[in-house]
Amino acid sequence: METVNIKELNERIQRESAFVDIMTLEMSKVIVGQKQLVENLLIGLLANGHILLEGVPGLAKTLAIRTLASVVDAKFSRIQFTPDLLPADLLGTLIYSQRTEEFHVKKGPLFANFILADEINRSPAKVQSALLEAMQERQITIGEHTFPLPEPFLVLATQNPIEQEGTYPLPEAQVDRFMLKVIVDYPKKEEEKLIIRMNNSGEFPTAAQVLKPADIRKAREVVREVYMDEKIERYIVDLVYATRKPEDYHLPDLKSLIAYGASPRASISLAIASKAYAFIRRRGYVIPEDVRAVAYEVLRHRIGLTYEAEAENIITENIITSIINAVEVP
Amino acid sequence: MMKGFILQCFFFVWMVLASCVSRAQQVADTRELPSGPVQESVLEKDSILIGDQIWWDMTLPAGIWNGRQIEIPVFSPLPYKLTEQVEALSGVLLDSVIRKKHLESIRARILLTSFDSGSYQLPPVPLCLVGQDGTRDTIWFKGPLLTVNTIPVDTTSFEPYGLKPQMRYPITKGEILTLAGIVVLLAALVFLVNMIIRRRRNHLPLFGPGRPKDPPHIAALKVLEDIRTRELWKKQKAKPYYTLLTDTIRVYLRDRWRIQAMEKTSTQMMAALHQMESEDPLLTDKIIGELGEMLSKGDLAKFAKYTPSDSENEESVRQAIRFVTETAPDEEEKEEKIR
Repeated sequence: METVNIKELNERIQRESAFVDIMTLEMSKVIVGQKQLVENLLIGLLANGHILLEGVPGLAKTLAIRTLASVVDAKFSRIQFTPDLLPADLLGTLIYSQRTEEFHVKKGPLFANFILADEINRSPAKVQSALLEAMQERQITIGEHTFPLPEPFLVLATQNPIEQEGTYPLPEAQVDRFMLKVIVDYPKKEEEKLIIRMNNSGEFPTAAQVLKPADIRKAREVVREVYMDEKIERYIVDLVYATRKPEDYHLPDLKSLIAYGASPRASISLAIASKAYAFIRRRGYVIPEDVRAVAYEVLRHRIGLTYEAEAENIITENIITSIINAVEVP
Repeated sequence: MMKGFILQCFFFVWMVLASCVSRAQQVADTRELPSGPVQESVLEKDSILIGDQIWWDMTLPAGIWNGRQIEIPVFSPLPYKLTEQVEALSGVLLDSVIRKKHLESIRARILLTSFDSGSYQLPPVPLCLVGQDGTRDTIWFKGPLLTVNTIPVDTTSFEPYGLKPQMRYPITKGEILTLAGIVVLLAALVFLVNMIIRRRRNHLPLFGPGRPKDPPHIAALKVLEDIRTRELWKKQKAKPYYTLLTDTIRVYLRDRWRIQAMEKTSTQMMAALHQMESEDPLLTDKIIGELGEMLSKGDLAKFAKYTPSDSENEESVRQAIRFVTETAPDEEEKEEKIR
């Protein structure tokens, strides 16, 4: 039987998670408000999961990711996805050297720790596939050579909910590879006033580098050790299962609204994201609150809606809320 | 010359044969009348169409009858074939014909029909008159000629009719009542089965009113008292013990304040109770805080492998009991609500 010393684990987490506050503090110097966005970036970083950010232009999506990269001493690449982008523009290619009379590998921008795939839905499927394959395999093959990607490797893709003309929406199978989908909302009034002041002052604050990639790797190990009770596992399975068979959870009305439910990858993501959330909250064990806190980000892009739901202006968040309110908490 | 003679002979033979054929088609009274007095009989009409019915009347004058008993022939079974083509639909029916208050005659009638066209000679019918001294006198009625015509078919202007649709008989009241009865019976059966299942599920007796449900605080206290008296924390591990304890409190919150506690986390339950604080004077910060302590300990035991000491476990059940007893509506309040 597995033995876990929670007290010891809690103490370890208290030590290892000290950087969370410092990191959040540094990021808040540059990013005003958007606490949820920063928290989800941290969850993605700790849970080793890629993040899809969705929000209208100008909500500091790119700035947040750039700041995260600057806080960690890591290599950062920004790729602006356009319709004429090619897979080789991301992965790299073989270049013939006349001097050595040999082909040399020219690595693409994906060989970095933090990748900002800006407006990912503006590139055709072949480019999206190249990126998503690298995300999944965490390695890239150019010619005859396979290169592992550096650790940590985190892809943060953005997409715009408006201006859908000339875009290539990500297929469901590829969206599923993002651990979290974060909806970035407008800042509050007070926060926006502060943003104006910061921009008018002429001196834009910068975040200090406070972390090394090794710290992230170490923190990830601790996150994996966070204790998850069997009751919590069952709760996660219930939540995910309710997206597939809502009628089994006294939600027969949802049956006609859901075209397909969340995949087992959702359960895995929900579990690891809950652990990361518990780590951020300095806890060595997961409680139902942790699962509920990350449920929207993990499930919203994994539930397919029917035409009926779309006609009734029902969004996946409504479905998740209904499920959370119907599934019994352990 | 010879050829002409042969032709004449052939013509003569043909004429003779042709006359035989035409005579054979005529209906001849082949039946010979037996000896004795013979009376005439008449048909209502000379001819009928195929399938029509016609009365054959035989009149026995009163003078001949002379008050004697009449024995009639029996046609059985009906319809009775008088000839190959003519059928009697009734037996011989006797009736008296009175004119100017005096019996004029006795009339015997037979109802006939035929389903073959042609002319048919009806057979003679006897009536036997039996005198008081036993003397028998048979009177025969001569059979008339009955002509049965077929319906002429005009083949020049014949137009075939389309197929007739299936005849739909109107639904009778009896049928409707039977169906309605079956439906009512089935509905009653379904209702009965449903009632039995529900009552069994709710552990109620099959008939008669069920036991009234305990108020939320009584139900919760029963479980909590049971936990306390049986000292379940000593018999069970911390996890199932705290699961039972917190679930009892959740059910109490649900039934007492309609808080959806089964689907809420501990923090959410606390938030919901704080919201209710302004509405319910029985809810105080102190009592909610105490419950919060118990729920936190429960979370630790359930999700963090925390093993509280016996005294902590006992204190937890006491905290739960205190919460229920202090927030239970008193009888006066309950009566006011009823009013």
